[in-house]
Amino acid sequence: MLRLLHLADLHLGWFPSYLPQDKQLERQKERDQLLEKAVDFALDPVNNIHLVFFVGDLFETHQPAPALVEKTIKQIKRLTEADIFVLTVPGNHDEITYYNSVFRGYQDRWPGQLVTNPRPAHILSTNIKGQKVHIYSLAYTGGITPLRNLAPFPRLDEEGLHLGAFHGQLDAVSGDRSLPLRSEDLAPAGYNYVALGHIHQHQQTSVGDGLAVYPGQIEHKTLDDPGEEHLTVVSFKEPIPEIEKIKIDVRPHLHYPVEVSALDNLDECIEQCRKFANPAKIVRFVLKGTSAFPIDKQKLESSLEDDFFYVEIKDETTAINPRIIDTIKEEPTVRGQFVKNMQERIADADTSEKSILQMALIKGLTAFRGGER
Amino acid sequence: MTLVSFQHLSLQGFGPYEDRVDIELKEGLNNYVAENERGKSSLVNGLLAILFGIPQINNPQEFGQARFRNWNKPKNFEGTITFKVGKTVYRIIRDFSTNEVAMQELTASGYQTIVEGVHNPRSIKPNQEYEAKLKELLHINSRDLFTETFCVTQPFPQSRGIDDKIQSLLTGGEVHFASVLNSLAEEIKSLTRYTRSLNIETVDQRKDRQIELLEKEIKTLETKIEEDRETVDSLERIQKEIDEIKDELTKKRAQERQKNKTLNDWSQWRQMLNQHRYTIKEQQNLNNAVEEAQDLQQTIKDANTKLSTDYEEFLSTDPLVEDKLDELVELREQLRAYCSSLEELSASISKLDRELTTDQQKLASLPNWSDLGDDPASQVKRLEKVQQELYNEWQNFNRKQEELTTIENELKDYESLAALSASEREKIKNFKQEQKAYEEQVFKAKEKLNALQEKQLKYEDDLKNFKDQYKELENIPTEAQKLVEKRIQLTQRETALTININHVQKKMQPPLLIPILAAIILAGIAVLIGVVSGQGDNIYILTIAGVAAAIIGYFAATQLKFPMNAELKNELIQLQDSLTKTQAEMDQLKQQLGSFGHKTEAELGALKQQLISKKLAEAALKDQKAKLPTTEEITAAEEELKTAKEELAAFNNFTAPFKQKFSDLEASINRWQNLLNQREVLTQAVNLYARGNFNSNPENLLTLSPYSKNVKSSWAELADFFSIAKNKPTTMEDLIKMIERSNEQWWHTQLKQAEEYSELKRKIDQNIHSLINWKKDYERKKQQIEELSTQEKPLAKSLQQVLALADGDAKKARQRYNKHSSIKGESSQNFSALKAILRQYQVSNVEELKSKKLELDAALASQLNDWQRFVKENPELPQPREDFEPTAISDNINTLEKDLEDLKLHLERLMNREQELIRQHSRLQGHDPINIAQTELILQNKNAQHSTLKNQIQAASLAYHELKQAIVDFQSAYRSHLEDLSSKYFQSITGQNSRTVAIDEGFNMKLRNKQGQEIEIEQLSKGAQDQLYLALRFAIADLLSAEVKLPFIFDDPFVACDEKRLNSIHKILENEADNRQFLMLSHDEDFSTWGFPIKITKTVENI
Repeated sequence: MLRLLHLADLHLGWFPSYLPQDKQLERQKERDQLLEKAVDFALDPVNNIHLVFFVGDLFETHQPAPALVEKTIKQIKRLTEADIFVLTVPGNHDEITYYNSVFRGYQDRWPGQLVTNPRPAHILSTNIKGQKVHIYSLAYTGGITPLRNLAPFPRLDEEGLHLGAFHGQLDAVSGDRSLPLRSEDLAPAGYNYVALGHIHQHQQTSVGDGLAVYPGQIEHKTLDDPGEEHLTVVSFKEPIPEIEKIKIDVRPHLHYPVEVSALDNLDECIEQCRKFANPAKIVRFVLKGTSAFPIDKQKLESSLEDDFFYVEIKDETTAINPRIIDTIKEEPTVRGQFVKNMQERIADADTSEKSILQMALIKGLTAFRGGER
Repeated sequence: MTLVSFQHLSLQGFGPYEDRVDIELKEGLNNYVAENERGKSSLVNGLLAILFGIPQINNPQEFGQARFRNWNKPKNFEGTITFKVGKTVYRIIRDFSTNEVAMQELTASGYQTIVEGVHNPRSIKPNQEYEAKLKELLHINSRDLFTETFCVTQPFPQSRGIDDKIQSLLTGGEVHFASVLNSLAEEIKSLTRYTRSLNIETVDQRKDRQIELLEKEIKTLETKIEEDRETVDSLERIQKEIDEIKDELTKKRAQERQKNKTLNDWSQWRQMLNQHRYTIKEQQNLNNAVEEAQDLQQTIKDANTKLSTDYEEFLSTDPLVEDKLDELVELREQLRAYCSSLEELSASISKLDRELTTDQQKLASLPNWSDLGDDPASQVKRLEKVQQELYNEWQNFNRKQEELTTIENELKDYESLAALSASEREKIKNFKQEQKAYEEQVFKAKEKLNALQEKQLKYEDDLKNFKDQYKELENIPTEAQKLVEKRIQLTQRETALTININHVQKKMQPPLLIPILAAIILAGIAVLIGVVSGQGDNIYILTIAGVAAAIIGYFAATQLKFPMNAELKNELIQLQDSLTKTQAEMDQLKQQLGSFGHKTEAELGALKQQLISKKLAEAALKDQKAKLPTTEEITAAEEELKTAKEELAAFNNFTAPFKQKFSDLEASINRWQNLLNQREVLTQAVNLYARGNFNSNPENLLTLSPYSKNVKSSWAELADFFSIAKNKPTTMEDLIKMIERSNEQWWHTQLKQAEEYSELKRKIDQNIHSLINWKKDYERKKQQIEELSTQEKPLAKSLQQVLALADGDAKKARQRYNKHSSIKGESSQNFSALKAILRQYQVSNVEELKSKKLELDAALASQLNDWQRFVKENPELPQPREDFEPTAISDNINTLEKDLEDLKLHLERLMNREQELIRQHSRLQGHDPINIAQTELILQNKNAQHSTLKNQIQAASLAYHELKQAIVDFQSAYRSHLEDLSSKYFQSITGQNSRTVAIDEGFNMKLRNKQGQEIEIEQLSKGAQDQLYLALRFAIADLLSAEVKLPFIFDDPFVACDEKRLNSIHKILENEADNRQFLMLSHDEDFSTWGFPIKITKTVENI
């Protein structure tokens, strides 16, 4: 039974500019080690990996640093030298279209099979561990790859495993620079497995009789673009391939909600956050409720910076206690009249208007308090 | 409205009160005077904390437990407030530590809990039951609003400060609503520059703000993405296109070469064809020339022969024979014409002579119209018009004469009016208005007199009422009001001092146990002495002695002063001294007040009010009296009425006779005046006509002669006409009669006769003239015939030989000469033509021309041979054929040329495109594009920020406009009500009903007097400003608390007030104290007399 390590969206070379300067390079280097970890995993006989697919966005940009390219080639060579079949598909970040794309510059030296054809095509058929494997793919090339009517996807009328590998957006339009794929186009090809890349969250779906899988981004980028923290391994069992998610050790990125309504001051808030202290973590505290004190984000973050690898504060508190708003509504004052009018409008508004009106209410009341909370 | 008053407040562990303190409060005005930092404000905060709760906040700067928990951290941190709503008493007990609260109502069986539980003011889940009940009782459940409205802690504002303070209170926040609006506007202005379209300001900001800057960034990113996307995507496409163009260029260039060769072959073929055709044409021309030359040579020879044989008479004749022949022919023609004309003229003269005689006889039979001039018909037409005009004017004159007679007759009816003076006639004319004015004059005089008399009567009534009402105060001293006020103050002070003395004395009294012990001990001693003295058996004596000793002991002990501290003693002495002084002062006042001196405090209060009322009534009466009319004024009014009545009677007497004669006086006057005007106009018109036409009076016109020099010439002219046509008129009367008899038909007949006369006269004149001219012409022609005959005879003799071969006929001889000249001319032309042919082919005779023809035949054969050889070499070309259709060749060549041209253009385009693509390709390779995927993520973030900013702008703008609307809504809902409330308070405070409070749309305050004139705050005295401010605060308090009157707490707001101002405020509060409770907290001793002193009792808990 063949086993495939399905990788995508490694984004090697990505630079964490949001971090403090002294931690940026450390984090970048640490993150780029992901490839070595994955190769180590594939080479480990226990894992019994026969094929490794990099389905797009191996690099963060089309022109990564030469040193990084050399390191990457070196790691992939370790796989090919160990008779593991390697397929590399360019993505939208490391797109082959650019004349100075890494895959144009290093095309001749690239280990394993590099996909360069701009339209869906049969890449090759090979024999791995006595099993015939047919691979189909394309390298999205701007100006040549059609964005509509990619069909028909090729399919050899031969025995064996038929594997597709595409970096694009399946059954959705994202608006960004990516290859649009449609299940109804892929299904007639009857691939046993479609290895996908581009979406950073792990997803599985049926395409015809086969299975289409996004392994997701393994390492984290930011707190808003998190990683899955696992490798995706496919065992080609009959009748359907089996997917395994293997946990991999990466730096944790966490979100913690903090209720501040019961807190009296910023110090108490700091103490509350400090309960989660861990210098290895990258965390975001989301403050909720009604705050009785001004939320000084900068002070909070600087107070906690030694307790975490990186800490970020997101203020989702409301300026005014909803109870107080109800009380004000009853007042025969201009303020009371304002709240009454606003609440009437909010009651009549549709969902899209409601949020703006609520924001307007809070803004108005904040102004009534002289601009402070 | 329901009155709310705080009755009792107890606090423990709160602020400076470590131990429990109990504060007793009374209805009306209360004062608490203590030095600063002695807990005055803590009392207020404690009260608020019990009612509205105290948040568990550790920040001592804020209203919370950290700020108010006593430093020594006593075990209890709690408070209780007892308050009265109407007649019902309630109590709230709150544990500040836990915010556990219980609200109780006092019933017959004691306090009953109505609500209890935890009430944390900062909790997200409120104790709705407690808050609802609090709202029901106090109509307010917001600590902030209560504090702002009912706790007066700031110094009283002055002038425009009142507006600001009141507006802030009405806003409900800590700031003025204008500041709130401004704050929102500022926020919007920091976010976007386009404040005009949002209706925030009238103009946009000059510089971009956050959202515009972000939009620019987004636009830059989008442009960059779009450009680089195009760059990246086009590279492969361009390379592909370059390759395709190169292939096509190779193909097209091969096509071009082939086409060029074909075109050259076709062009050469066409050239050969053209050359062949040309040579053939040359050959034909030469053949024709040879033939023509031979013919010409023969014709010249034949002509010469004919001239010498047929026309020999012209061979030797002189060169002038042609001219002489022409002259002779012409002379003979003229002679013949003159003779014929002479005969015709003679016949015409005879005919005209006869016709002239007949016409002259006919003219003599008609009237002599020539007296009217050369054109009598026109004159007749003109005179007919003159007659019509004159007669119309004459008739018009007669009609006016008749009208004048009618008017004179009517004017006789109005002779009485004509006798009046102009002013009298004016009175008659305006009869109704005049009569009404006289009547109104009488009415007004009556009204005036009545008003004066009523004023007098009213004053007398009011004076009588005043005397009746204040009869019992007749003998009271003039300064009684001041004495009474002083007396009340002293009574209150006496009561307060007595209470304090009793309190101190109670403290000084020994415990009850001591007199009882003294009684028992003395009774025991008495019994013991009785027993010892041998009276032990007498139980009665022993009992009496024991009881007597006990009584003595008890009273003796009670008279003993309990050991006391010096402080209490001193305080007692001071209080007793004050009491004595107060009573002495009061006795003095009683004497001064006489019978009113012994009244109770309540009676004195009533007396004070009575005195104030009397004073006000007296002032009003005095004012009334000052405005009473004098006797002179009343007499003058009576005189005025009498005069008015007399004037009315005189007017009626004067107009009576006219009213009798004319039903409508005004119409009669108008008719009379119209008649006078008409008469004048007509008289002027009649005189003007008589003078203008006849220079005479209107009466004598008919007797005048129309030929008189005074009569207008038109009349004489008309009389002349009638003299010609009929008879001569002697007077104007004859002439008018003739005019009246001459109708249109008569005039038509006269016109026809005049026309006939003119025509006949013209014909006779013309015929006489013609006859004279014809006779002269006859003589002249006769003479000319003779002259021509003299010229003809010598000329005919000189041409005798030529005329002989033409039978003497000059015309025939001329024809023979013409024929001879024609033959000679033709022969000369043929010779010239022959010479031209020979010159064309550059030969000297016809033989040489024939040799040239043979040479050209040989050249044509050689040319055809060359052409055939070329076609053989290029088999795609057609065989030589001289009749080949020329358009077919041209079309073929044109098509080829067009194809080549298109091909060249296409090639040029392809080369240009290739160059352009190569340049583009080089440029793209030299450009380092951005990473589009990465940039798209950045753009996504920017768009999210933009959306947030847009929402913020929208929300702030909404808030701004909703707030403006809220201000308008609030104004329309409450302004009028607030005006009424504050006016009511202001009038109550000032005791004057003439002024009301006016509040404009911006909630700016003014006063309005009885006349409706507005008075600015700045124009008011400080005292009046305080009155207004308090009135407004009371009004706002009523507005906010709706149905209940909540207490006001004044926490040292009067620090900057002088004594006069303080007295004024004191009075206001005292007067208002019946309707509302006031708590006055101050460090100033002067306030200790403001109402009841608040009693604070401290209880030290035993450890």
